[in-house]
Amino acid sequence: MIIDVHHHLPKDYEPYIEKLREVCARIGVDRVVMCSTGPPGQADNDTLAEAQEKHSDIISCMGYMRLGEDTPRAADRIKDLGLAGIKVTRPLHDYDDDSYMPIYARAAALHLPILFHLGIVSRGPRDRFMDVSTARMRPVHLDRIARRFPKVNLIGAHLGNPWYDEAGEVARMHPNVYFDLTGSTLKKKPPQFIADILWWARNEQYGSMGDSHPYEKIVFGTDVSADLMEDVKNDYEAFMDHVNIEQKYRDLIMGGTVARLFGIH
Amino acid sequence: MVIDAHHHLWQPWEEYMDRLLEHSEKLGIDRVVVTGWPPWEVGNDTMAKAQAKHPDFLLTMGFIRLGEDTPREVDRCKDLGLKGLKVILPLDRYDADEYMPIYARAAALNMPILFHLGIVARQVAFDQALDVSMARMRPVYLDRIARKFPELSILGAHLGNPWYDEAGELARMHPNVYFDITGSTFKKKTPEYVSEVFWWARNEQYGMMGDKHPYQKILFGTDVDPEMMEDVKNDYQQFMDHVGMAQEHRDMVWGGTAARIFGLEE
Repeated sequence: MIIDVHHHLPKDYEPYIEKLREVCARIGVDRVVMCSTGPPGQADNDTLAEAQEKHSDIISCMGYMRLGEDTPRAADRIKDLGLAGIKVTRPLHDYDDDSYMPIYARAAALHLPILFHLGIVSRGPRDRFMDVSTARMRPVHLDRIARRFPKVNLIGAHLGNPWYDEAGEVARMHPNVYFDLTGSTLKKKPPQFIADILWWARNEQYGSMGDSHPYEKIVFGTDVSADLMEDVKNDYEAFMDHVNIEQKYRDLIMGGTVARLFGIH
Repeated sequence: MVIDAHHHLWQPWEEYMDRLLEHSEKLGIDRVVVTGWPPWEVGNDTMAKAQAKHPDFLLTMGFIRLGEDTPREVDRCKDLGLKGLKVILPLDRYDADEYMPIYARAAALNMPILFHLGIVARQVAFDQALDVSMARMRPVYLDRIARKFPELSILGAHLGNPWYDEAGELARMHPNVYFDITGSTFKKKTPEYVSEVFWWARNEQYGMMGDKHPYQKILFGTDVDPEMMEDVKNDYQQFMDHVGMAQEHRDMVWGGTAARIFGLEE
């Protein structure tokens, strides 16, 4: 099963999902986990829930919340809406701030995986009002969360661009931390660079630290509009070919691991 | 126009100016952006005198100590006729809440800010008294400032040495963030390494993100004594040759972009 774990749902989703269905059928993607950065540009949580209900055969949706503004009740509401997880981006403090711990605790209790935007984030017209800072979204900020909440599954986006080494070490240490390779990383860095970030794949002594093989920590995602998905899928395949990953791990990267995290069968 | 966008004005400043003018003329440098920091370098009042004496050559930057100065010192720099601000050795991270009123004032007064970034020289005489830490001067701390004050021109020094990847991504994302490549970077890293920091110059999909070509985000600067300026200029030249930079972008790096930032007529 091939699952795209990082894809944004626009407000006006029906025509988009129609296009998404065409592309997925053509390139062999079975399911798409959708998220949103919220209104005004993208879908709100009610719309995400509605889209998921209407198109449950192909999409799963994660609710969004704003760390620093929302309370743990936002996680409760995301669960009540039937959404599959939580997406966070542009927090008002570092991701590992004390004030966010009750939210992560709630997500853990409700078995909601969390997708964290990491690293450089696109610039937008509302940045001034939203008080956005890339500095608050470092991979290393997941470390405290992963240790405090060992039962919550954390997915870090973009391999932490540009803090790749941090992402690699956090992946190595924590069985409950995963990363996608979306964004510009596979354009900017050669496959060998990525392989070096996941260096312990080649080392007997450290090869299974954190109890998962490194290639069990990478998940397929696209984070582009439907017409560019094939290009990202090709980049993943070029990476897997370069490091000569065995079929078992290819299957995990392309969807097996995400199916397990989200309970998709 | 060739503009050295990063230079220190040392005391005694009149004698220093003689050397700076002589070498600038020899190298074809039309203008020099100077910063100062007492007691070894000039303070804001002396800087104003230098500006008045060399109005067509100097672009003077007032010194603000983040954590000690208030936004009123920004007002005073403007009133003194200085063209921008220089910050270094802040007492908290560059993006700390408490500094936002200073940046807001600079933005309102149209004063570009040159931020020292990364590793900073050790000065036994005052490191303890000034409570210096390079950890507070990361390129990524410019991210919040660039978004909160989109009208403010932000000049990051030294390409953020050693946090080059952060600097590259900041340059890519923000039309109002620029970097000079002064300091040890061109000695320690190859031209190819620096070109990889500006990777999106070679990528169609991401090539124009943040609305500017990557080479429009690089400023020529020297940050050395007049006698060493030629050496730094050669390093820039070598980098441009290595990446096969178009003449249009070379002109921008040498001074076109700095001229625009400081509102000079070409």
